Formats: sequence, structure tokens, C-alpha cells
Amino acid sequence: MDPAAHPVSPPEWWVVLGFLRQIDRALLGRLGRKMVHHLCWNGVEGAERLLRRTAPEPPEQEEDWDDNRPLPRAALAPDSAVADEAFRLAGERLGDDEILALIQSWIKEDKTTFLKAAVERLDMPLAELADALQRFQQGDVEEGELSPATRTGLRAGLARRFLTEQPEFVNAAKKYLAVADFHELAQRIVYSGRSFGRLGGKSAGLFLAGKVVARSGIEDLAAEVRIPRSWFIPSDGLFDFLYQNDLGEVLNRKYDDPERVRLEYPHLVQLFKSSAFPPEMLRGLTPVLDDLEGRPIIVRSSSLLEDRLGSAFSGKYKSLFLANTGSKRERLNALTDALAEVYASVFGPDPIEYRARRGFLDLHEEMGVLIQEVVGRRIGPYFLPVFSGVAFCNNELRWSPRIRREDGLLRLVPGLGTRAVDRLGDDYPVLVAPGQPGLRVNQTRDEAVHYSPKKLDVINLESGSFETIDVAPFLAAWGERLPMPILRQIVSIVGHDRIRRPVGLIDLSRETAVVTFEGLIAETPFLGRMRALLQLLREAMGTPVDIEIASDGEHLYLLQCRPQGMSAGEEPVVIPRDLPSERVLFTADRYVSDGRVEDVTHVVYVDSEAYGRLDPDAMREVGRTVGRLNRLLPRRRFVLMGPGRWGSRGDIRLGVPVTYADISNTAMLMEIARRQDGHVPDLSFGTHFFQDLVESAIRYLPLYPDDPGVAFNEPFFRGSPNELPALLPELNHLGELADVVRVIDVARASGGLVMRILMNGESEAAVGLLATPLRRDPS
Amino acid sequence: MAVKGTNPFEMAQAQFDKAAAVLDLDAATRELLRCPMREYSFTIPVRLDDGGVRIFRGFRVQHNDARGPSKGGIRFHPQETLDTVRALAMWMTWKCAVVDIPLGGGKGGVICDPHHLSQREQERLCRGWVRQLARNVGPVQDVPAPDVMTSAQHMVWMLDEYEAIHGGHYPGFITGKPVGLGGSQGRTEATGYGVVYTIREALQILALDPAGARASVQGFGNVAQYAIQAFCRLGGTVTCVSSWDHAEQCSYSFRKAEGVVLEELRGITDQFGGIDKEKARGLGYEVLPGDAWLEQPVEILIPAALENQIRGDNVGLVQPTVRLIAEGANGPVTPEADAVLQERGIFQIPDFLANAGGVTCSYFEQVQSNTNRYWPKDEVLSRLDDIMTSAFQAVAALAQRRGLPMRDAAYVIAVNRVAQACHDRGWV
Repeated sequence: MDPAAHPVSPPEWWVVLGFLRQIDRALLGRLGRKMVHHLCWNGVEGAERLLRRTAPEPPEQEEDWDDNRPLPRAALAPDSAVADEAFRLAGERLGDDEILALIQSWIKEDKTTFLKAAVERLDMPLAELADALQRFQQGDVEEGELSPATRTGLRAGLARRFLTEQPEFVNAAKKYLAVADFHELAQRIVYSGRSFGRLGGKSAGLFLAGKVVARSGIEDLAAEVRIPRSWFIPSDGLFDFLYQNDLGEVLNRKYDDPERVRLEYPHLVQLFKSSAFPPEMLRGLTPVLDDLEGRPIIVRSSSLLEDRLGSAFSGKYKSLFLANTGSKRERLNALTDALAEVYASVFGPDPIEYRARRGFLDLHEEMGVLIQEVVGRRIGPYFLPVFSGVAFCNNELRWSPRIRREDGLLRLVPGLGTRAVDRLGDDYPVLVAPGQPGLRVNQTRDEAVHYSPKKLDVINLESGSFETIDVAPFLAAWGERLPMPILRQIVSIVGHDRIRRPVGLIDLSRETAVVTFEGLIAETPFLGRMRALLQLLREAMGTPVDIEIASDGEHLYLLQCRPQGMSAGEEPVVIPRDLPSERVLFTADRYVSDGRVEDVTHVVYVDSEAYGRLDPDAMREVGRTVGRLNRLLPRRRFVLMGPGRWGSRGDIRLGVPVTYADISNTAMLMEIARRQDGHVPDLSFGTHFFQDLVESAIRYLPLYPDDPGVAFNEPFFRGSPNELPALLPELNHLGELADVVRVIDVARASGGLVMRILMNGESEAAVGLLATPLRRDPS
Repeated sequence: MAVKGTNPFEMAQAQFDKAAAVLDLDAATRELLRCPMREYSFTIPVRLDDGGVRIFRGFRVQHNDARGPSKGGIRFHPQETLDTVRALAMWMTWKCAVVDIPLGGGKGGVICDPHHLSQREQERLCRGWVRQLARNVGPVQDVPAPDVMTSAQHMVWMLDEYEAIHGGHYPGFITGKPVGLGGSQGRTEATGYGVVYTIREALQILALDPAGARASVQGFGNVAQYAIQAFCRLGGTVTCVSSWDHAEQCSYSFRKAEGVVLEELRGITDQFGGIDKEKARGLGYEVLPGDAWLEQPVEILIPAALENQIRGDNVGLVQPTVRLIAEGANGPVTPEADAVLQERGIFQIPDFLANAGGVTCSYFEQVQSNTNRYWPKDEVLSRLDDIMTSAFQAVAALAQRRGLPMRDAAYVIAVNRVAQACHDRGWV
């Protein structure tokens, strides 16, 4: 059909094309090419011929098809001619409405060209990219009207420009983030006109996770889980700061002697603090202060290197809390002071040493900053969340054989989450496996009281400082200021005969309360929500994640989301195949968590059979001997191996009677279950001091030497020279003890090797082997 | 170093044989008392939270109920054995008899590790235990109580199941219940106070004036704190207390020559009985190593913490001033140290007499529950004093009359009372 020859009136699309022919022939040409491809894709006869006119096929002769020889240029038909032909063909084969819809969609897509270009042009500063986003938002094109390819391309490009270049992250981001989200994000970025930086891992992860939750379609999560108000400084803010103050030379300090770096670091911090911020950045911080007025804030690093190194790098840089009180000038000073300190932490000795060890020293650290409101409420003179926590998709700290890896792990604390994130030397968080909430680490009243959190981190609004305070006086003074339902979620009441969840009123002047979160866990949707949240984020990110959360007593806030944390020594390890059998000391295939223990120089091996023959007094002597060895052997360079349930109270025949103090310096505790009278005894899984092990990063592994397919080099453990007499010559009953407690100097027993333990939780496989030392001792 | 020879039940039997020999009991009585009268061994299927089912093994041993319903705890223990339960049931018979309360001895348990069970699963386990034994236990047959890894909460679940089965209220079925749900006032104080009631009587025998007596206490838990309170009320002075420091994982002793002040120390103690060292120094206490409590120049030592604290290797630290050791904890003195202390003529109040205040209060709880009338705390403690005093005097009199160490005399008197009841009933 020739629309021009239409008997009544030409269709609408023909009118549009006629208009274009007069005012924008280039656009007409682009539409024509699109129509050719559309017709070809739909198998319309004649379209193939047209396509060849726009993009001739390569020569058919095979010898001409040479990867290394440039293709000859082919003569192309002019665009307008192709367009006329294409639309004539379309008029014959497609409906009028369909053609009009296609033209409208292509014109709209064509109107986004400026944004596509802005995204792809790496020389375009963030400010101009933000302008392009603004123009797009104000235009009449909806993102949903774009073709899927254009949409995906824009989203991926924007994620790369604003957030991070890490491919896995960009892949997840393009599925969940819309162009409008980046427009929203751009409003909350503090940048200079020249900035090309990105926001870094922490900010990117949180931004994406927030959108994933909001769009999950899970009503409960979308309504209840929130992201705190946040502002972002891109990674090159650090360089602007350095050049503004002529501090560029600090970039090379990383090549200095590590001792010198350590020595000079305190001066560097002060130097940074006394330096000026670029005026542009100061202007940019004004809306931040306006937005977050009246709320304490946290200034957090958001590293780009972290993306490359994995989150093992986390925690190396500073996060600083600010009360954010006083005049605007005072608040700005406090904020820039904190920013300077966070920037200085890039040049601190620990991160430099860490990067050197990982071979990343030559890369510049680029670090964005996240400025966030602190979630919480005022209680007395303090500001704090009613609880905070860290949750992991995979549980690498299973305290019961019934807990599966995928049951997850939650570390909960009262107050700010700093105490949940870090391992605590002097306190304990509450541990819960969201998939098995009933299986608690602590079962008795005494255990629950002993391992309850006894301190909390708060912001003191009166002194304007971050403080660690004791839970008991805090509860006594201010506990009843909390709404009763919230208090009931946090504490349990300790009686002389039991510990119980409070019902109804709590009288803290008469009753002793400890933090257990039993009410929160047992009586609220919190844990179900956490399970759903972890599951959702695991699926969206395509990998297990760890998240930080906090609650102000009303809503749950997501503070961080990143691929599941791998603290040094706790990454999954590939277990080598075909290890020479003479190198293998043991293998294990049950209840294995991820990680490795390197350079073990000594093994304290308590012989199961000999131990089982002892009377209780002698068993206690074994426990005391282990305690002495614990004080004597090199810290975290020896492992303990022995029968049954270590630290069991009551019946000490079940396992070596030790307290945590007797094993506090070991790198690893391995409980050995030997088959006795036809059955294998239960092991303790370290439950008697489980939380002590967790907080000191002492690894635990159960061994079942009698299982089929498991290796256990008994001759090594029983036959190697015993160092006990040389180490503790003063022991009573030394001769008899030496039959039970064997101290093996691995190097001496193996000709200079050490023991290395590799563990992979995913494949439930662990191996202890003789290896050459990684670390060279000064001696 | 010694290699173990016997299991716990054989050890308990050997202890009994020693007392039986002193009493010259006839063969039938010995045979009867050497073994439990009834043993129940059964399975308890429990539905787990994840829908699966696990079968647990439960026990109840009623060693002897000639003097009254059996009394004894229920233990949740991963490697529980029938022989352990038998030994502990026998020990309960003697413990109830030595304080002359009308109860026999029993013990029960379940092979399980509560660390691997949720609270709901533990509740189902408790209810399952009661369902299996509902006809063989009860206020007039056998009265359970909390023990290793069981608490007032477990007792309430068990009581609820028992009452559901029998269709009525039977609070006397079980003890260790919370106050307000059939529990007794004074339970917290009972053990510590009981220790001091026996100390008071012992001081009379030793012709020591409590007002001039000094004591050193190991531990600062429940038993120790109430023992200190009661001893100070007697007019005595506690010059040294040791407590466990959770942060440093070791114990410290706190000394004040003019006498420690309980309320002052409680004010600087965490929820676990750990005394704050710095604050203690500020209050004028000397902070000494954990073992220093043992070497104080005092008249009385009260080990009220753990077992095996006075041993062959440290018994030499006990000062010549020490005249009396009251065993507030279970088994704080090893046999090796016991021999040395006897040799030195130090008066010892054995654990199962000194710390019987707890079981006596359980008896009171049962009496109150059965009559559904609950006594004020003063009445509980006054009755406790009566019972502990009578029990101590009877043991001391026998020890003096027969020239026996207090520990042996306590055993002999307990076994004698039970044997007498068996004879009176015509069983043997």
C-alpha cells in the first residue's frame, strides 16, 4: 500500500513522517533503520533486501574473511531512501496503530541520546551527569517507555559512574535500580564541579539494598525496613582536599618504612584536621547539616578498594559519631573535623600494611564518605538505637549440630552497633540463628546472665561525645523511660531460680534485668523479618550478604549491606586435592566453617584413650596442665586437640575440665569424638565457652576420626616426641601426665614444617596438614 | 595421678558399706539399701520445632522411700547414665535422713544437651517425662526438683503436665517452683543460712565465741553471700572473701582485717558475683590472689564455691588458727586434704550436712504446697534453724560418742535412720 495514495486520508504515522521529512531528516533516517531491523526480526519478506542496502553482508569468499584484515568499505544507500522504502514495506505488512506506536517509542528513545552519551562519556563530571539526569526527569519520556536494552544500558552505565565498577555489583544494580533512582541519589551527593568520583562499596551497597527492599513486593519489609537519611561524598573528594592543602605528598607515604608510617600517623591526623576544606565542599555540606539537624550523625568511609579486596578490608578505616549539636558553625566544624580524620585514616599504618600484604599497595586508595543520620531515640542524656545488630546469611559459628549454615547468624546488642560489628574482648553480643531461633547458645540462667551484653555504646548529647556505658546503671536510671513494650523486648528478669521474659509491668527498682532480647526474638515479627530480608538480599545480590541493622523502637533500619564478610582467616578456602598422604594429619567432613589457621607450631594433644582411664582428680590435673601450657606456648600458634566435651561442668569424664582462661591463647579447639562401645559421643561444640571463643576468634572444629573416609594420623599425634617434660619439668606426676597430654613441636616432629588447617564450610571439608611456614619468625 | 577404678554407683555403695560396717547392719538391710528400690528407664518422643521427632532416654530412680516420698532432682545431661542417677538417688536418701526430714531419696534425668534444644522443645521434653511417670511420681510418692540444667521454669512445665493428667492442683508434686506459683520464701537464703546455723553449733562445741570469731569465705555467690550475712548477724567477722573475675577469668581475694561489709561489697558486685577490684580498693579492701582466702589467720574457713578447692597440694596453707571448716560447696575438700585436716584436729562440717539447708527448704515448700498455706520468710528460716540445729547436734553427739569424724558420723546417722525405718515397716 502506498499511504500517499490513500483514498480518504493518509494514516497518522504517515503525517508524522512527512513532518519529520521536512524538519529532521536525520531522525527520519534513524527511524527508518530501526524499522528495517524490526521488519527483518519479524521475518517480513523484502526486509532482508533492505537490510543489505543499509549494512551489506561481508564478502562470501572464505579467504576474504580474515580476522586480521580490515573489511572493505561498502557503499550504503542514503538514509532517507531506506526510510521511505522501509515505511512503505511496513505500511503493507503492519497495522497503522502498530506503526504509529513504534514511531512514538523510537522518537522517545531518541530523545534520551543525550543521557546515554552523558553516561558513557567518562570525561563528563558528575555535576553534568546530574544535569543530564535532571533533564531526563523533566522530559516527557518515561523510563518504562524505553526499550529493555536502552533501559538496562542506562542503568548499568549510571551504576558504573555513580556507584562502583565492580561487575557483580553492576549486574545486580541494573536489575533493581531505575534511572529515577540515580536522579534521587544525585540530589544527595556533595561534589565539586570537577568530580568524577564514585561513592564506594558501602554507600553503593546500602543504596541498592534500600531499593531492593522497597521494590521487593514483600509488604512487611517494604513498610518496616527503612534506610536512614544519607548523604554521599564521592571518592575524589579526598584528592580535592589533599590538593587544596598541598598535601599530595602523603599519597607516597605508603612506600615509607612501616614503622615510620606508624610513628608519623598521629601527626598526620592533626595535620589533616587543621587543613581547610575546598569552599565548594563546604557549600555542599550546608544542605547536609540542614537536612540532618537535630539528629546525631555518623561519618563513615566507603572505600573503592574494598570492592576489589572483598570486605576483608572492612573496619580498617574510621567511622565517627557526632552529636551534631550546637550552632551551625559548630556543627560544620565538627563535621569537617570528622571528615578530615576519616580521610587521614586512609594513610594509617594498619590499612597500608594490609594493602601491602595483599599486593594492592601501588593502587591509589579511593574513598568515598557516607554521612548518615544515627538511628535511635533520646533516653535521658543519651541518644541510641534500642538495639543494633549484624546479620549474616551464612552461619559460620554454629553452636549446635542442628544449626545449618543457611540458618544465618545475628549478633544483637543494645545501643549503637559498634559493639555488634567488632569482636568484643570484654563483653558479649546476643547470638541468634534466624533459621533456628529456638536453639540459643545460652540455656541456663547463669549462662544467660554471664553472656548477656553488659555495656552499650551511646552518644552523650550533653557532652557531645561517643561513650561506652554499663548496661546495669543505665537500665536502673533510664530503663523505665522506654515504653514498656520495648523494654519487654530487650530485657529478661533474673530471679534466683530462673530467668524469665517479663509479662506486663517491669519494676526495675526491685527486679534485676539483663539484656537477652528474648521478647524481641520470641514475641515480635522481628526474626521472621530478618530471615526474609537476608533471603531477599541474598537473591538480589547473587551472593550471601552481611547487613547492619538498627531500630529506634518503631522501625527497623538497614545501615549496611555487602557481600558476606570475610574477616581475615575466615574466608572460604579451597581444599587442595591429591595432598600427599604423609602430609595429612587429619581431615573432617562435618560441621565445618570457613577459614584457615596458619603456622601452627605446637599441638597439645590429649589422648582420648589414656584420658578415659583416669580418675576424676587426675582428669582435673590434665585440665590444669592445659591451663599452664596455655600460658607458656606461643599465643595463637598452638592448637588444642582432645576428647569429648571440653569445659563440661559437672561430669568431667565427658571432656577435659578447663575454663576459658585455660584455653584463651589457643588458635583452635578441636574436640575429638572417638567411637566408644558402639556409639560416638556428642561433642559440646564449644558451648561451655562458645561466646568466649567467638569474641576471641578462636576457631572450633569437631573431629570424628572413626568416620569412614576420614583421615587421622594417630601415629603422628601419639608417636611424635612429647615436649611436655621439657616445658613443665616441675609438674607432679609428670610421667603419668605425659602419657595423656602430649605437646608436639610440629617443626621438630616434621623436620621444620608447621601445621596448617584449611576449612571450607560450603563443601563441609577441612584438612590439617604439614606445610612450610608462611610467616618467618624473627628468630 | 590415679587411674579410675569404679563407677559412681560403685563408689556410693562403697561409702554405704563403710557406714553399714560401723552400724553392723544385717545382710538383708545392706542388700536393700545398697540398691535402689525402683528404677524407671523409658523413652520420651519429642516433636522438634522443625517437625522431626527425636527420642530421648529418661530415668527416675527411687532409692528408698521408707521415711517418706522420694525426693531428688531431675538432671538434663548429655551423657547421663543410670549408674550416675543411682548414686545420686542414694546420696539424696542419706541427705534427707541426716537432717531428719520425712523424705526418701530419688533422682532422675534425661540424656540430652539443652544447648541443642529450643525452649519449646525442652517444654515438650519435660511434659513427655511427666507423661511417662505420671502414675509413679507425685506428692505422696516421689517429688522431683530442679538440678543440673533444669530450672524453676522446667518445674512449672512438669507441674502443669502432672496437673493436667490428674485433673486437679497438686503443687506438692514438685519443688523449686517460683514464689507465687507454689514456691517457698527463703529458698534463696536457705543454704547459706543453714551453713551458719551449723557453724554456730560447732562454735559452741569448740567453745569459741562467735563475736570473736573470724571467717574467710571462698566464693561470693548466693550461698556465700547469705552465709556472710548470717555469720555477721551472729556477731562474727568475715575478714576475707574471694570472687571470680569474669573479665580476667581468675579469682581474687578481698581482705579487710576489721571485717568485710556485705552491703558494701554487694554494691560493687556484678550480676555474677564478681567484685569490682578498683572500687574494692577504694573502699579499703586489699586485693589479693584468688587462693589467698585459704591462708588467712582466721578461725573458720567456709569454702562455698566449687568442688576440690582444698587439696593435698594446698592444704598446707591452712593456718594454725583455723579450728573449723564448714563445707558450703559440694565436695570442696579432697580425700587427701581431708586426711590432713583430720590429723590436725580441725573440725569439719561435711557438705551434705552443712549445705542441707537447700533440701530442707524444698521439704518446706512441699509441706506448704500440700497444705496450700504459705509461710512468711521468718517462719521458713526459723523452722530451718530448728531442723539444721537438731541435725547438727545429733551428728556431733554421735561423733563424740563413737569417736568418729563428723563426715563418718553424718553418714552413719543417716544410714541408721533409714535402716530403722525399713525395720519398723517390717521390710527387713
